[in-house]
Amino acid sequence: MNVATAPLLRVTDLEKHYGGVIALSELDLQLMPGEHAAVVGDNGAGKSTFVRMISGAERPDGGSIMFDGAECNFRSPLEARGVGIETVYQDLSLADDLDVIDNLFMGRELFHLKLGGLSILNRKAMRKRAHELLDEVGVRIPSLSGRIRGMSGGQRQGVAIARASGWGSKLIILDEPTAALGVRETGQVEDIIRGLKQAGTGVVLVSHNLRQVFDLMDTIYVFRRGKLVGRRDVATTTPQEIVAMITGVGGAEAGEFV
Amino acid sequence: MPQATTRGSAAELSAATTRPTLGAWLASDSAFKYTMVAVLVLGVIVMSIVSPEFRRPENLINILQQNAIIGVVACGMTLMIIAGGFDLSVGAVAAASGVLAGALSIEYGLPLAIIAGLVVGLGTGLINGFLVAKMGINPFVATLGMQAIVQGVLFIQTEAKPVFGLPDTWSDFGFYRVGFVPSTVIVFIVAAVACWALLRFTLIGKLMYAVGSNREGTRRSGVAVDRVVITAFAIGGVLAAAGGLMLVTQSNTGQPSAGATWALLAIAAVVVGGTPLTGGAGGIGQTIVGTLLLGVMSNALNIMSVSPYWQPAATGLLILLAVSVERYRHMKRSR
Repeated sequence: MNVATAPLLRVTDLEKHYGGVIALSELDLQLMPGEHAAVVGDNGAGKSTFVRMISGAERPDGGSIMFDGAECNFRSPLEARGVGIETVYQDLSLADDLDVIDNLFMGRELFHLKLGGLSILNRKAMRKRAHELLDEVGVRIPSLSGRIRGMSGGQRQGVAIARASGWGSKLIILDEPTAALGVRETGQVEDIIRGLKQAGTGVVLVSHNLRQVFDLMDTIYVFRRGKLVGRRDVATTTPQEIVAMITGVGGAEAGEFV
Repeated sequence: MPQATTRGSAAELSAATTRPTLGAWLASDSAFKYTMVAVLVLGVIVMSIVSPEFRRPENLINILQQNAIIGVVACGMTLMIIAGGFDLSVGAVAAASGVLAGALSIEYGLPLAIIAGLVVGLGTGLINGFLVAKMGINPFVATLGMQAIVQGVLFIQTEAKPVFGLPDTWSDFGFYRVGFVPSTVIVFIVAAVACWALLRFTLIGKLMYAVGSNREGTRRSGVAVDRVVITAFAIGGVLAAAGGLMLVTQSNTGQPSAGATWALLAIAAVVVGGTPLTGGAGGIGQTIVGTLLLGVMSNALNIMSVSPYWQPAATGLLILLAVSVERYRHMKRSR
């Protein structure tokens, strides 16, 4: 951190409205490479809107997104993914009837022969690569040819995160990754997120779980009523301060800065 | 035979509810697959023992020949169901394809006629796929509408009269045999192997399962899901048209009223084999088993001189049984 590195993501004056409702405005923030940033705020605070814009799911109505030194104008999640931004959705995007390998390589299959839709899948090569991928992320799956349907929530989330992280991605957006999980499975997913920190992969974590945020993240960005009301380093703030900022009670307005 | 079918499956079902280990086994996919194979084999064996007429080689070949056409249609239906859809227009499309090809063959010869017939299937399949994938219309409504349109146009153009006087080349092909294997059965085998390989080895095959299993999730992964659905419907349409052409080879006429029951029969063959209507799972092997099962049942009922009016009822019973078992498995899995 002694060298002044360029930010990985720089968002300037970002704005989004739905009809007459302003969902997000005047958003300026920057994330450093490898930074693990939490995005917190009440429902409707604009955090999902923010995440959807940097993941390419929605287009901003104003402002700009710079990623890795280049201006971005994503028209689809695919384009965001192309520059290295991956999103793991809350309601998982895995195909339950398919096995781990087929899911890991969804949209990125390896082939024996490329012939458009008739391309012949190289399942052997994908199996080999799948082992490496899951090892890197630290996900343990009993059988790669087992269907997703039969797996625990933690394993599923592990597969989803491995899929997101395994392609040289620089920033992974996790939208409430443990919201539907039990205690033990949440622990597994948190270990995976720690692994991403070691690997130097940046993370944006949307979470309501402050314990989790303080355990895992470097920085916290607090959203309220469509605005970013503050950024804090985990090392120098307290849950009480964050809660005050989220709710707008207790003079958090005074500390409004980015 | 139908008794054997019913008893076999019902016994499995009740045993499964009392013994949890067997229930878990039944909930697995291979179990259901092998159960249906066992029912088929058992049915054939029982019928062969009790009925000399049934076990005549000519009768067994006859079963294959009679069901090859619906088998081809069912192969296409399998792809559509796996991708999360289904097609009620296959019968009308088959009839239209047969009538058009038949009429064209009188003047322009068979090759062009066959291509024209298949293009009818491709075109209607593409439109079906477009309506379902791009317009978001429920497959039931989209393909029912297509069925009505195609049938309407067909009846108006032909005044509901069959097309006669076709070249004998049609029936020459239809009754040709390689050794003892009828040509239509060979077409069925080719279609089945092609669809099986498509599902097993190719990208589009994998994506059909993916789209049928979780369409939105697959879309988020950057897959052009609309194209996958449209492809499934296009192949389904072409195979329906192929079924229509195969029918022409059997009667040497183009019948506008042909195929009225095909959609239901093809869906039945797929579902009875064990491919769930909910999409994302199943395969061609199951469809072959389902096709043969329905064929053997129908043949057995004929031989036992059961009124032909019982046939649809028996088919319906088999469908409900298969779907019940599927629902049971679903509840087991998602518990």
